[in-house]
Amino acid sequence: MADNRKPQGVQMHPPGRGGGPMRHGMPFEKPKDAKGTVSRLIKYIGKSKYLLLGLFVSVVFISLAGLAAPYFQGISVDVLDILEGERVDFNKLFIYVGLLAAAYIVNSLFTFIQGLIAVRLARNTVRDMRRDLFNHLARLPVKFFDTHRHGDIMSRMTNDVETVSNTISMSLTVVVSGVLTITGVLTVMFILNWQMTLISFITVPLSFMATLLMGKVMRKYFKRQQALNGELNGISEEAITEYRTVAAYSLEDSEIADFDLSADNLKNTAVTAQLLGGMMGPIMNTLGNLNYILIAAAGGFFSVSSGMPLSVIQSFLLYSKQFTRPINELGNQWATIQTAIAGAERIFAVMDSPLEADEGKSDAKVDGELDFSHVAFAYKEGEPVLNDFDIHVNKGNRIAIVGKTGAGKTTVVNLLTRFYDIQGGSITVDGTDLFDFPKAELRKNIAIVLQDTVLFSDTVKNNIKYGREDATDEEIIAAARLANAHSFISKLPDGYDTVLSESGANLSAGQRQLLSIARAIIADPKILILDEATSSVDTTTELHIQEAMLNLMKDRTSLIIAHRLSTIRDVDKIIVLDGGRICESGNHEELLQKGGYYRKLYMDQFAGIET
Amino acid sequence: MKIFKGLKKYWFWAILSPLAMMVEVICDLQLPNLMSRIVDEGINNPLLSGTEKLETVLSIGGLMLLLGLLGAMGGMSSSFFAAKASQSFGRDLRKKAFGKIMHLSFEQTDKFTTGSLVTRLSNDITMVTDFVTMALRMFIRSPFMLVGGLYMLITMSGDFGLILAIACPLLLLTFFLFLRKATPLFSVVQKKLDKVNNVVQENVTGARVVKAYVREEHEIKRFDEANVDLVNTSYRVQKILTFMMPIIMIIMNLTVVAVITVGGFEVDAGNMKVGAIMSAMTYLTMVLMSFIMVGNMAQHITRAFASVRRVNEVLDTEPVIKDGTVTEGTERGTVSFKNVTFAYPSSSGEPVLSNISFDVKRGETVAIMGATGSGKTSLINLIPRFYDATEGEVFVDGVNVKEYTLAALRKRISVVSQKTELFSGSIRHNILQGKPDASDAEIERAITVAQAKEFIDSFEEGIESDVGEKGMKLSGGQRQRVSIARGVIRCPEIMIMDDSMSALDLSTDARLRKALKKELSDTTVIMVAQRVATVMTADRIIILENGTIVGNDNHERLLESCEAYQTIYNSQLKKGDETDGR
Repeated sequence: MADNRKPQGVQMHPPGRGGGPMRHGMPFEKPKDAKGTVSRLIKYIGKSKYLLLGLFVSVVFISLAGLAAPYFQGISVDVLDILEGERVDFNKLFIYVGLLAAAYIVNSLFTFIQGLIAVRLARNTVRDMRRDLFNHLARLPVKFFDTHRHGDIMSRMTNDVETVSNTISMSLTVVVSGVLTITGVLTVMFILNWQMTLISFITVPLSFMATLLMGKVMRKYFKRQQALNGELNGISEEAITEYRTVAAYSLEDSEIADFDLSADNLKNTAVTAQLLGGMMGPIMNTLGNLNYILIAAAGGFFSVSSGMPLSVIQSFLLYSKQFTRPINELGNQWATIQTAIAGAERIFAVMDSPLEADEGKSDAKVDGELDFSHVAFAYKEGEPVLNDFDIHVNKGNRIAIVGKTGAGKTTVVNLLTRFYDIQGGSITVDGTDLFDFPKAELRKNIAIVLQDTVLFSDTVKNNIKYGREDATDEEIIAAARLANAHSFISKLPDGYDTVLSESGANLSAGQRQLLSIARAIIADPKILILDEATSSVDTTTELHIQEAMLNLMKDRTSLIIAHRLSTIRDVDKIIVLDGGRICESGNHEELLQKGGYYRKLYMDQFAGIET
Repeated sequence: MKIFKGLKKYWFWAILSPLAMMVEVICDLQLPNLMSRIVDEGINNPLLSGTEKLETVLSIGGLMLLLGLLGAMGGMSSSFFAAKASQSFGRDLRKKAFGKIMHLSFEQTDKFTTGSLVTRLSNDITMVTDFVTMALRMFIRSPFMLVGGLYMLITMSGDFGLILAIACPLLLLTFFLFLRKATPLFSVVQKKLDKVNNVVQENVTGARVVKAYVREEHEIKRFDEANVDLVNTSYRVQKILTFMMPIIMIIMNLTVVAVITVGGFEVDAGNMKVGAIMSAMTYLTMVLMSFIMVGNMAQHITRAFASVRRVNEVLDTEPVIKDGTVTEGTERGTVSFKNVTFAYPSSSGEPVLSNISFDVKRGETVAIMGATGSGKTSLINLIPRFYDATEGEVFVDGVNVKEYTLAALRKRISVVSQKTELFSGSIRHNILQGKPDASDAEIERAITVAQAKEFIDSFEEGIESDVGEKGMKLSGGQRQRVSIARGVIRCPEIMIMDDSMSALDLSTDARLRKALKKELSDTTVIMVAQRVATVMTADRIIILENGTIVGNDNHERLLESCEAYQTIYNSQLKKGDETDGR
């Protein structure tokens, strides 16, 4: 856009970011505690001291060369400034032109070095920051994942880290070189002629104001455009992913009407936004032209009134362009830096979340006897989920926990594995308080099979091996056989080496469950927790799963969150939960005979007969 | 490309924009010339006195400012015209594509995948629209500037042309070499980024499993590998690009040096003045910049055309399910299948259903049971013509489904699908989708039948409560009941329920079935279910096994005669009888 304002020769600024007028319009976020975040960031990049030093040194050289070039250019052009009939002093010209070329070469060379350092710095910060973030993430308590939106965590991990570290190395360069160039140019200009300097300043506040005002208006429109874009995408995504319903209820036309309305709004906003965006360049150009004329006119005046040399005018024409550019660029960087700091804040927020506590020091062994005594727990203050909860489980016993949704069944699992910590009472395992076990020791002896099967995008073998790292191939196959998974695994294209697609999407729900059972079998735990799946699987697979679960429970203390009739009937004890308390317990026959809450629940949930 | 025919409607803006752009370019091309005149004819002119000099500077300067303003106006109006043309074009394209997508047949949506349709509609169309904007402005500006600058330069001196003749191929070569090396690496970087995302995703969603098996260290190692791999690959790309910029800069800057040197000889020979040399430098930079822009255009064009192709694929797809003409049936409320065989069009041709025949009478309740993959959902998909039978015929109300208009066919049927699909908005909004003009009394009745009244009343905002994106604010059972209410409100002739009561507890399930029977006694109900308790009371149960019917009778008779049903029954209700206590 601004071709005619550029100094003759390519602008000397480091590569990597286009600072076009569009930049002004991009919405940016404001950080909450910019100071604190920045000082933490500096600690981060401070790790690569030598890189930083190198970056600084090369920026200094780039700026110096950038200052020298217009000067050499000015004096070499001056050599050509001869009256008619005079000859050009080629000796002088070649020296000056040589110096100019040298300045350019130094500039390019250091731009190259600076570029190399910047990408290396960015690489190191991305790598370290992401590594630290994940190290922290992996050790956060389960509660963190339950209470934060997953998409949000993901975007901090990738987008935010990337933005922050790129901005660090790039903005740092721009800011340093900008400040250096401005100071340098100003000094030289003042030394050459201070009146001319003041005159060439006249347009600076104008362009500053233009940037600021336009930026504000543009941000508003770009924000609105983004919001409308989001709305439009929302409508189309919903209509497209739910196309079955759309077709079934002939909703095509009403969806299209909604979409069309949004599309019209988007168009109107986009036109305004683009118009505003397109104005920035021409406005800056006009201000640049104005500046040029002012300097030329003032130069003409001074050359007549005080005999100022012509080369000064030429240098001023060049320098005035030299310092308006970094001023605008610094303005652009402001938005980028703010956004990056806001991103860094989000990253540090994760890093500041307290890690999972692990204070247990006891070397007691887990064998399988459990005791819950007066346990109290609430996810949210004032809404107790478990209250005065007591159970005792002997080693090798099977206990089923039943109750309506929300009765606190899953909570028992969360507490025993210490995904969440009890808030009252105590839990002991083989007589030792749960809090005295190191978490690793405790969890190694507990295996859980969850409702929502979690598999990893790795081979089938590695997914089973997840239960115990040092398992041999024979053990893996044996576990798969016990879990009734061997036959379907063998039919997979690469058998045990088949790589599961994302989260095991290429397996059926039933097969995924069988794999997770195999994983629990190979862990060979003392205590087993089964959270039975509610999702409907077909009868054959269902039988396979039941059989596999029975194999798994053999000789282990088992807690079963039951949804299936067959598993409940054979357990040693059934605990019936209602409103966070145990309202009944006993075996199946006893409880049915008693004719209380269990009987009603049983009829309701399992037999389907209305009571 | 016929996609761009849509621009015709906005031809007025589309022509004005490049015209305005040309005004800007012409003005821009004049400016360096004027600047040199300020120096040569004004400041440097030995023949003028001080005040005359100032006057010359000011008058040429005034012209320059005027031309500059004119150019600025040109630039601004060009971007306005371009925005008008391209955004209107983009909006039309969006509407057209969305309309098309809404009328695609299921097999086509399946083939595209919903995710890809969404991206085509958003990203690709945005890309095409931006391309039009750019084509109207930059694609005009850069070549024009290139030619204009070149003309100005060569008219000054042929030697400058020679400098360009050396610089341009060098620039081209630099671009070509570096981009050829870097471009393939970009997709590698993307893949590695996906891998990193994947590990994070699995750890975030599977935190419980990672912790339960104490595998934090393993995950950290796994992540570290993916992370280092990604970072190093992108470092390689960045490093290549770091080389490129300084090389381009040095080529361009050295041409400036060359212009001054060559200019020295021209001035020496008296052919040129110093101001002209200065403007020559500006023209040269202009030409080279435009040259680079023209080079970039190629990249934009390839990228935009990939999007054009993807959008075109959608626009060119004709729905395979064609409307018929009939709107009225002959035997209300009946459904029958005659020797129906069905294979998914995208599959290898292996039939999912083979030789299915059965009849359903008006007001009957028929349950369909069978293992996963036995063809239950495929079977019911044929009734509202989501797919067409490969062989055989399906009749609704005594007329072949292919003869109805789609709207007439689907109006008589309510489908409540397996994966409950709700739309963001209130509960009322979702229920009204079944019957947009329903009265409050009708809504009340529908939610009562669907057993949704109790929980809806418990909400502070009742029926106006927002269900959230895809109904995520409701529980699974609540979503199912809202979508059943949406089906009930139409008082359909035929109600199809595809495992849509699975999240309800059995007493609610039983109440719901009872209410349906009572309130919609005329409605034929076809339901897919997994639970014996749900199907026991149906008039008939059809048992599917590997795409064929192995049983079609009521509960008692199937229990006696059908082995497949016995297996299912025993697995679910074995020993259940003795504790039945009735």
